[in-house]
Amino acid sequence: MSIVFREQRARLEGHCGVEEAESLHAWMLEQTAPEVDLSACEHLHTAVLQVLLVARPSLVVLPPGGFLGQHLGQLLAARARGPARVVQAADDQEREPR
Amino acid sequence: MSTRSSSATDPLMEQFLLESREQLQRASQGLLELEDQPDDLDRVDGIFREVHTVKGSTGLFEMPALTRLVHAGEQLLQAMKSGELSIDGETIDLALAMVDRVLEWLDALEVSGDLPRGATEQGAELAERIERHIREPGDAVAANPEGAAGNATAEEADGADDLLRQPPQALKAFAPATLRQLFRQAMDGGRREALLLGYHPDREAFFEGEDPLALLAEVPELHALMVEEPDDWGETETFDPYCCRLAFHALSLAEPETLEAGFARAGGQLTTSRLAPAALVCLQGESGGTAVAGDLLDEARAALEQGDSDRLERVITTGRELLGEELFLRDGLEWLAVIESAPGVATCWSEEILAALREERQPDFAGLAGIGSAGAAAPETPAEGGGLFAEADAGGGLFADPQPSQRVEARPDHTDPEEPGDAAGGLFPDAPGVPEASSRESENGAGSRLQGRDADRGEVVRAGRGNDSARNRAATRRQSHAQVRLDQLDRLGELVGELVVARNGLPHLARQAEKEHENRDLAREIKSQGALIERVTRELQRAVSDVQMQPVSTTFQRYRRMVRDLARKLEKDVELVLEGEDTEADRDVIEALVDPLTHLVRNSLDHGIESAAERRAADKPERARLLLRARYTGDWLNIDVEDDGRGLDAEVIGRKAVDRGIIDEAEMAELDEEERRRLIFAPGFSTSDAVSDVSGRGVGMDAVQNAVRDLGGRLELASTPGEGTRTTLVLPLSMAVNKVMEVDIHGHPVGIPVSSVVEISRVSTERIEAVRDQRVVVLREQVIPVLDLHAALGIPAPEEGDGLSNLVVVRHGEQLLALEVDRVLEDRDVVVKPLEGILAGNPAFSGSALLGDGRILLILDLRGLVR
Repeated sequence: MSIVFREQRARLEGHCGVEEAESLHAWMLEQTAPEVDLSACEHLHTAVLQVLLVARPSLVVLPPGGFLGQHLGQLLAARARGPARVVQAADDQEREPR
Repeated sequence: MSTRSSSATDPLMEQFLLESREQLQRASQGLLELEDQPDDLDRVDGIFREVHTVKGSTGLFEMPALTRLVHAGEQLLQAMKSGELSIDGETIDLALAMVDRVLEWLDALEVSGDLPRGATEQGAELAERIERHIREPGDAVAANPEGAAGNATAEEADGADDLLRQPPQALKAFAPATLRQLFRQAMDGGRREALLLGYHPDREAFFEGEDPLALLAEVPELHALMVEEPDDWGETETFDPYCCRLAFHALSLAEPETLEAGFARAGGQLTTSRLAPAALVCLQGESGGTAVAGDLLDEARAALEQGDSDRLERVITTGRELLGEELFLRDGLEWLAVIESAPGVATCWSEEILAALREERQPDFAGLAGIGSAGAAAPETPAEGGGLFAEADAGGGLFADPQPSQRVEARPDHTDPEEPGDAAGGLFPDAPGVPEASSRESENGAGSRLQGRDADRGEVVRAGRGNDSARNRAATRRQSHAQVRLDQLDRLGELVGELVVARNGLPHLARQAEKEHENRDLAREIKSQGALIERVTRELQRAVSDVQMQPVSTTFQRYRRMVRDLARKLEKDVELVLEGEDTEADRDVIEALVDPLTHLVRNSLDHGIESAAERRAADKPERARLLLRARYTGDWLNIDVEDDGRGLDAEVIGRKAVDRGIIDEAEMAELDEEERRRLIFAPGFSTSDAVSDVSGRGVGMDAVQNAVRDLGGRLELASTPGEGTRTTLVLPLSMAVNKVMEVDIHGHPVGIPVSSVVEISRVSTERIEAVRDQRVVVLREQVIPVLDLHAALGIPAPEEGDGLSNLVVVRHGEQLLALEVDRVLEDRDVVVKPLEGILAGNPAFSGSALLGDGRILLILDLRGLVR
């Protein structure tokens, strides 16, 4: 599992475990408009979810399918104080960030 | 907190206070009754509605603390309704605590326009307690070694009915479209049962190595997932991601056993509810669209009745165009579309949706045909039954929820020029006829083919709880009552009284006309008008008196709560039985009864009724019985307070009286059992433990007795040691206008309340004897003390007598007294006004009355005289 931080975007790949929660949170606090790219994320720990809920990223990119793709979107989008935007990566989309 | 105008100047607040008080009092009563009958779902529903209404009203005023607390109470009741929470003592306690607190706050609002100090904190604390109780009834298990599944509470079959009546609150966390999709899936699968999961991990779950999200990811056939966050995450800087503060709600079509197996090793709390597809129907949204609602719903109804799918299609399309997605009505139409497009539905389901939309409530599917899930009872409708649109594509077209971009704001006067046959005005054209359904293809390609539905329709069971029109009637029925302010009622009473007195002046005028002015005709006219006025006035008096009459039930019901709370505190099991609640008496009399009755009830509970152990030892049923009964005997109102407790032991009482120095041994020896029991009424009999919070004043039974006597009544006592005690309050039915007997005492007119007069006797003066400085007379073998009113009033007695004494024998309480007067005159109706000025302190008089001829009548106060 890894998190790659590039400019204002954090990209989570593979399984994002509980130990990543704190560093992700700290990083998000330092950004003005943090974006979180989950398109290559297979699973994230509940602790990481809490970070996403509290820290309010301005953009979340969801994986095209799977548990996260299907349910996290609903979960995040339905909140009144959710991320400003939630988009879903398409299957054929370039996985690498710009 | 900003100051608001007090209710005196704010009619909206006044209305809110009035209505909310009533609603909360009804809720409180309902809760007490519910405790005895926890299965009474209608009652829970009723209580819920009352609290719900109050909550809605609080929204008019900016009082978040109040809204929050009532909202918590509403949630508690919601949980009770859906069966999530069992209706036990603790739950009822919390609900009552909420009601009590809010009632207190309403009082504060009435006086000052503001909530009391500390309201926000107290309210929040209670609200949190309630919320905690809803989540974790009983003791929360932090780390359950058996796993969360050990805590799983699956709904029983009868709980399923609750879910059909009102959707579980948690469903509202899900998007309506999600619920509809799940519904459709469940129905397509043969009416499968859905599972609603609530999963609340422990705070330390992560430290236990758990990942709740991973567990949820493993749930088979997970249809939807929602997360519940804490109200307040706190400061982002102090946020601790390792403390799990989330709860989850999920919907799945999996088997409960599979699910529970998955959660077997997890900590935290897991609740599962099994939902028949119809239980998923959870209407959400805001009020609105009322301008078009009537037409739309009527059209929909007609379409259903005729089995006309095209017509229904038009209703739904129109609804989508006119109504915003956020509207309740729109949501209902979307559900209608889904239901009618699903296999295995019955017409009554849709009818119930329409009824629910009309009444702005959730649909209640309990008991409707074919409503259970296939796993439960066998479906009543034939498997091939279905909605009007049953064969339409599930994936798209008319019956999929439209994309958000298609939303259109409500525009009530919209008319679509594309609609065939649209008239220039009006929403729905008079449909000339239904086009051949089987050959028609709609423009959006989804196809709506009328299945051989018409033929089937006659066989579809139209079971339902009632038809629309009955419900409409109920909804539009207005209360045939009016609210009247008590001070207005008092004023009416006063005015009637004054009218009565004024009427009394007419005979005098007539006499004057005849005697002084020698005008017989005028006298006759006056008399005849007077008679007419008298007749009308008596009617008016009766009418106002009837308005003043109130059934004792309002007072009796207060005791339910008191008995319940006190019995719980004393750890006694007491059943309160109320009889004769419909008995009516004057409002003032009833009000005045409250203190004495309260004292008597407390007495019974405290001292009369034994502990459970004592009762068992005495071979009595553990459940004690306390009876409050109201009945008429002639012109009197009788209120009994009766218990099946230990009764009054004359010996014990006698000894206590001697100990207290009320009487000495010798006197005690002369008293019979009955008289000894009555010693409890002696002042000074009760100890300080009877200075309860009843009213802070008065001590013991003598206070009760005085109160009753002041009302012109008396107390009766009956008791059997070991079996119980009955105390009876005997009271006059009305207090407003008094009948007094006018007597003359050396030219001074004095009034004696007629209700106290026992008899009038003219005896030879010799019969009045003196016994130890007290003059007495023997009448009908009773020795009655005689009181010479001249002396009592400080008026010189007439010098010579004619050897005869006029005695008016009166009863005050249990005591008889003979009043010596000069002449006995007529009975009069008077309005007694309190004495003012120097006369006010005179104990002999209770008030004065203005006579029709301008004279003033002093009204005797028998209590003052007796002393």
